Amino acid sequence: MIPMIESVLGTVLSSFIIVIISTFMALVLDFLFPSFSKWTRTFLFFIVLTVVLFPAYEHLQMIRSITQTVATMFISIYPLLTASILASGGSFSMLNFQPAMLLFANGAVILSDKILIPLLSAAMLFDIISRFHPAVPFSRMADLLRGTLIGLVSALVAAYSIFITAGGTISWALTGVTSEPIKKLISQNIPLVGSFMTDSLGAIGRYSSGASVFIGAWLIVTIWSVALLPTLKTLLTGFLYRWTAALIEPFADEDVTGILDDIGKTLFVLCAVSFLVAFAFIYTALFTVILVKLITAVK
Amino acid sequence: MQEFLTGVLFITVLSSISLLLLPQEKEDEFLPLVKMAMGIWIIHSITRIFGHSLF
Repeated sequence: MIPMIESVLGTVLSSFIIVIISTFMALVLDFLFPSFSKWTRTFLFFIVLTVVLFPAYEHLQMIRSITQTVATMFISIYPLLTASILASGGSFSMLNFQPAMLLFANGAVILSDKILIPLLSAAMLFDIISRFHPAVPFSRMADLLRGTLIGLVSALVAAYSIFITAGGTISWALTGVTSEPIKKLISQNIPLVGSFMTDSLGAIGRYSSGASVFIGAWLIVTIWSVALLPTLKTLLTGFLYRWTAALIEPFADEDVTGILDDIGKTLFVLCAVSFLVAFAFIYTALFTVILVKLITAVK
Repeated sequence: MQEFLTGVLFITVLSSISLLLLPQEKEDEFLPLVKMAMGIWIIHSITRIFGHSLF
């Protein structure tokens, strides 16, 4: 956990320090050469874009590669899982296996690879254009794209959770009375995707509770942390963007802070998308582990 | 999708650079031209979805 935070801070913080220093330099230049201010603004914009877009783009690339890996994993494991479930018969009925879930998860992975991530990069481009050239704004389009993505992803997660609870698996502790205040806190304090996060965490938790009888709690914790690490990384980076925007707001141009804020917002949506992929990953990993355990136990 | 985005980016970069180079008083005359170019590009892209073309 700590090395992950250190690596995120190391890559992201250095570029944000460049942003802070260059905005201050632009301020000084504006004071010294007022007639040059239009050019200063353009140069500042290009410096900020080249420095700031790189971490965001890296995260898009990371989520995309994870999505592709998970998709390949699904396609290779699906026949094996189905066959062994047919073969083992009664032992799997306890786990409430639903083949439709695999189809769902696979569909989500393909959806996020082919639609969600291109739309997200388009939203980022529209944001930058409307900040860079305020006479030709595309801000509504960018907002609409982000809103559509959030709607799509939360509808998918709702479908997941309906599928899981309809089977009647044992309810997990996160849905209980004790954790209700924590869920409220998360959903109110993380902008845009907070309530979605608590909902999908609940869905994942409900599912893995049924499997914990077989696997053991520690392995489930391991699978969870492996699956949710990219999501956490993206969330942390998104927050760093917003913190930088808040720091430089008093002395920087409105455009520069706006662009940092917008990229942060887009990263929050990316975080939601990566939740979907993480869910698919957890599902497959759990079933693979159960399968291996069953095979070794029968021997 | 990609072509549309490339066109939008191209128009933005080109128009902002020419706005920088133009003198202050010419800017007001130039801005409607930029808007018109963007409008033509968007309408063209929309009509192309339905199999028609402006040009």
